[in-house]
Amino acid sequence: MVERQSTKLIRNIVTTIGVIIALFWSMAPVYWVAVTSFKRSREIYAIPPTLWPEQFTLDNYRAALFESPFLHYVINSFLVAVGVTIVSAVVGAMTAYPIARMRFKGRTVTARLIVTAYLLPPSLLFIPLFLVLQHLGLIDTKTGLIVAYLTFTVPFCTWMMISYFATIPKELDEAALMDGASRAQILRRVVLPIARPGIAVVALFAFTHAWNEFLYALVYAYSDDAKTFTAGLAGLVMGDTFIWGQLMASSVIAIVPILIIYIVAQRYIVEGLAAGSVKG
Amino acid sequence: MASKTLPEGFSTPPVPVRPRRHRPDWLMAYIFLAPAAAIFAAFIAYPLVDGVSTAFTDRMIAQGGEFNGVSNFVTLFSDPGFGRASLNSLMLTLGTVAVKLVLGLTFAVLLSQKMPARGLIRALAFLPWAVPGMIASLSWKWIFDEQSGVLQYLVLQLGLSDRPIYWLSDPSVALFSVAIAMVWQGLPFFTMMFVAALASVPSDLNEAAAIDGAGIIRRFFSVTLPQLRGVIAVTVMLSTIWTFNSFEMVYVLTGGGPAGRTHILPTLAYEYAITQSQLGLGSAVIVSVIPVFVILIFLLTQRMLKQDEA
Repeated sequence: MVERQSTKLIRNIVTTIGVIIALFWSMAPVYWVAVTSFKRSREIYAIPPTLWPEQFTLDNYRAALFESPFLHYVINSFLVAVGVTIVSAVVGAMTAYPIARMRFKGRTVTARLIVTAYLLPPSLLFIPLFLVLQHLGLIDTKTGLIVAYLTFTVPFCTWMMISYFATIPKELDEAALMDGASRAQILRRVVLPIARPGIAVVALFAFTHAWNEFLYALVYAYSDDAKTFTAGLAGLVMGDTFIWGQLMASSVIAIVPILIIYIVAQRYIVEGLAAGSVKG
Repeated sequence: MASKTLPEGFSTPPVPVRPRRHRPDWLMAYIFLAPAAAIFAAFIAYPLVDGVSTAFTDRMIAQGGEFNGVSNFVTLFSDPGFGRASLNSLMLTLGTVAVKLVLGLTFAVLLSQKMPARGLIRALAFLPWAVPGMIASLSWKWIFDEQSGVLQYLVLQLGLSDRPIYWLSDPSVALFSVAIAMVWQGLPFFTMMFVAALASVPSDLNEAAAIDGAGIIRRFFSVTLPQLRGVIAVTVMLSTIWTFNSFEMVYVLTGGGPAGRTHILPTLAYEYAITQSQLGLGSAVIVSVIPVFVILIFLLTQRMLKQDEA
């Protein structure tokens, strides 16, 4: 495209300023959390605030990890998220396959129900689901949380896997059918291996969703054995005095696993997000 | 149906009479769908129905409760707290979604320009998306802290205000503070969706318009924007649902306070149902918003399934 030199210059300047503002806006709060977590408590409450810790300390991390049940909560979060990820990946693949490939009565209705369930917000479900879990004796257990999280991860995983399966040529299935393979074998030996990268992304999404969830965790888990870190932190915040240094150190610890996932899979996540929510 | 005794179809006697002795496709489909159907029935459909019926009872957490007709709704509609929470929910949702849309488009256009280290810059700009909602809420609570918060200091220092601003405890400011934090958290989703969409807009139309003498702004509004219409619709609807239901930001930042002034419907439902253990009343709050969701979800599924059914 032909552009005058001066237009191009203005355009570059505007872009640069805009990008700097965008980066400041998105990074400043995260930076502030991280910096606070390394300050001594006197410095944390000092005015004016310091941009960089005068005296770098790991005390807040020590307090968060060893002097509070936070580490226990993180482990709970991890176990719950792993459980949710495994079940929803398996069930998601099993559900997505027939919708993507087979012909049966109610296929359209099923697809519609899945999208609806995916869009259904947890805040609509948390009260009655509490009663269901109570009946099953699953309140205040990690299993109960896993079950609760499946209500959004299974529809979500299914929905995203349908799009991944759709990218795999149908002819492969048909050829395997001709060779006498059963549908279960086709899914396991033909479709899943090809869809592996897509499934990895879907699993990461499920893990992240479960790791980050708060409302169900708050309502269904209250003992240290079941509490996830989100609910655990809420417990710390609802008191009157906040130990900001320790809270910020806990925050950094809780962000790290997700950040690693995010950095490794950033490109796929953006693509997956776009593919999952927009079809057509 | 003779193949029923041979689950996999492979354990047949050495010489198969017919090569394909599988269950019919439709039956296999139902078997595949069974686990998801069980989860759906037990943990989504049943609770939904139960929630709706609970809204017409005086059920408490520890006891069964009796049918009391629409009296929960009468209580709610005469409760100024419910009216305020509805209004707060509405304003917060409309306000933040509008801001996220405009900023998201702007950021997406910026991040789509040619620049060095574009991938890294994008990843950093999308960062808030990767921050768990709970942590995002905590970060902002710390930033908004009225004594030692960095924002208080900045505002006073830059002369934007001559007295301290009570970000979270001044009723006329608190909702605005919540909105800022929610925009921060939700913006990357818009930016990501629009970056992906911009990449798929064919450039030849744009070039043709440029040759015809259309300026850069004119080109954006009359060439690029119309092509993003579908993505914008889906993004806005998804974000509307999520924003309307985001619980943790309000719960952590203000807890609905001061004096219930920043309650939104989900936090109000929590307050009634869990804090005060009035399940019936809490369910009624939720049931009263279901119609909005039915419409939104219907519109969205319509769009999201378009290609699938074609």
